[in-house]
Amino acid sequence: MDLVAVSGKVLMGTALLSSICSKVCEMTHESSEGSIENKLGRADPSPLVAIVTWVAVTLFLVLVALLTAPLNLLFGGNQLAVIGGVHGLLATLGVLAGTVAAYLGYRLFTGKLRAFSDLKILSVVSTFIAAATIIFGNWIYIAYRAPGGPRTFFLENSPEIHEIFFEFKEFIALFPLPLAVATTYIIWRYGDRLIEDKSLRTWVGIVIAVAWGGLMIAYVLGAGITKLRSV
Amino acid sequence: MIGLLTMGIVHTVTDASKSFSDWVLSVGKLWIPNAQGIGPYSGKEIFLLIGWLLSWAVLHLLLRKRDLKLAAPVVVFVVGMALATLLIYTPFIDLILSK
Repeated sequence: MDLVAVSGKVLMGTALLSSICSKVCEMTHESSEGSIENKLGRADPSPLVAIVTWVAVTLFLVLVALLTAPLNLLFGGNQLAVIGGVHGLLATLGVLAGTVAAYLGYRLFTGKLRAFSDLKILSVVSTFIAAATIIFGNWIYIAYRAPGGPRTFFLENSPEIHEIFFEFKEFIALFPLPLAVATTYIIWRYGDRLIEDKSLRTWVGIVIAVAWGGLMIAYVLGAGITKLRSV
Repeated sequence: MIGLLTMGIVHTVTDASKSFSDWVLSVGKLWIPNAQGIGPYSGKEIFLLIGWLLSWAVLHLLLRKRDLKLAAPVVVFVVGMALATLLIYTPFIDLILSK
């Protein structure tokens, strides 16, 4: 890639980042004028400044990476590797969101949950991630089953990997979606009343735990199988 | 749970019968793009969806006006989920099919 062109684009990105930061600083200055904090001389960054700065810096770094890193070599010029990468990324996000939701579900189960609004949001996020992961999983499964793909390799060299572990993984990965939809519906349908209703929150806690179990099994088996032979 | 149990039963029967497996694949082809690429798995996903959505609708109609105690349904759910898990586990399927 032409170094001059890349440098120009990076400089443009830097200018954009700088203008965003200055605009945010202006907005914050306007909004905080006359506030008690200002009069007291405090200069803590507001959540808005922190988030916008973080987003702007991240976008800038991503831009630099996209312009300079040889990503085609990383994916081996294979579109399926990109789909597999998205599937893996979504699964990882699902594990993160699902684990936090499982912790909040446990707190709900024990009747000690205070962050109910967090659980409401996470239930929706987990549901969408579960659905998207399954869609991309179906997509990459075509490559897995294709002639000469990992399935062929496993059946020729170690059939148990496909017949026991992969077959179990492909089905257990479907478990979290209906369970996540059911818990999301209950959480949003009953709202704060759920905290007072012991039997209902017990049911929700159990369903979240079962969904999390399925999620973790699918994730660990997926990672293990991919390590042995990827698409 | 009913959808997942349906999928487990369909999966077990496809393991026992090639003709049923072919029919499940043909069901998958009706709904899922490139179903041929993922084989009978496509049809099993369809049966999961049918079992899930149908059970939701039926249970909604049956239970919407009732104040149900949840102890028994929780036990049914846990046992059903355990069974659904076993029905997708190949060594267990081989055991019940005497393979």
